[in-house]
Amino acid sequence: MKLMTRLAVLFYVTVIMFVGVTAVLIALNWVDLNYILNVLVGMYINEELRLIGGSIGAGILLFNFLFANAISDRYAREKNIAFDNPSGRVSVSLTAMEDLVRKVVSKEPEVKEVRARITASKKGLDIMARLILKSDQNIPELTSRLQEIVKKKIQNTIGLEESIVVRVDVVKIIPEEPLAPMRKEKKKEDRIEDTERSVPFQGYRA
Amino acid sequence: MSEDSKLDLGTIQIHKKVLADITISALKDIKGVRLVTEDFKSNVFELFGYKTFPGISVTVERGNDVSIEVKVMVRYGLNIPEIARQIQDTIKTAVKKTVDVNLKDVNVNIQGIERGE
Repeated sequence: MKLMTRLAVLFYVTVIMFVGVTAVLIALNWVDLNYILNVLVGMYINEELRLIGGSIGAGILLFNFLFANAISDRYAREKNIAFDNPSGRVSVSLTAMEDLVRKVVSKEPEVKEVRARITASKKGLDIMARLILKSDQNIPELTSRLQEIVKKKIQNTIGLEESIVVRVDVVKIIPEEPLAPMRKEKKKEDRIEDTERSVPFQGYRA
Repeated sequence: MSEDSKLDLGTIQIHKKVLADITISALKDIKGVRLVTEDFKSNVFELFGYKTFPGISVTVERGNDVSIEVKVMVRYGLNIPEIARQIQDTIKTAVKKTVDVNLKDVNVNIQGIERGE
């Protein structure tokens, strides 16, 4: 563990322990309420104490911000695919690859919605695509076509030689709703009914 | 903080910001590539009047070895190894031409793929 990480862990453990112990002591009535009030009132009245309290608070906020940034940076750095060029390293974030998969798959007219998740390991890339399809599709044929398209696109785009596994998960099938024609037909039926209704009874004829 | 070289008449210091500016200009020439947009941290720094270069980090190591890392978004449909090589070559050429500094590395980090115009 790096020094900064150790310091951050130590800091947060201390703060959480302090808060926890204080809460337990208050709950068990082991701390006089007047004592706490005196400390708070003292802090409120005394300008020096207020300044110290405020500085500590600002320091904690700043430390928190820096630590959160460091964590998010490290997290982002770990989610990359990298290859080396003579001029330096090229790294492609997995989010970018997920964008690419989403764009390739959503181009297909049979796909209503797609969510992609990529994990990179030593064995290669593992792509998971969750699909919402429009109905009346041959799912085995469509999914195998999508797998092929995604695999080829990834290979062509990043020139990766490693194995790519594309898993497709069909989570929902949405029936296509020809809303407009249905309404038209309904209106037509209504009109027919109306006209039928509007024909006045003219009596029986021989 | 800066890359410096000695001449008979004195020392020339080139600030990292200069290299970052050159990098930004060089990237503008490449179609289908743009730097990542500003984040919260850079907005906060700019609030206090400190100019930041989101998506570019310049490192000067011992022995005046300079490395540049760029975080970019790439247009959908481009071949990533090709475009990355183009980015590296363009930045290297621009820096060499403008400040005559030999770059050790130009690291390209593709952060996202976006739909083109």
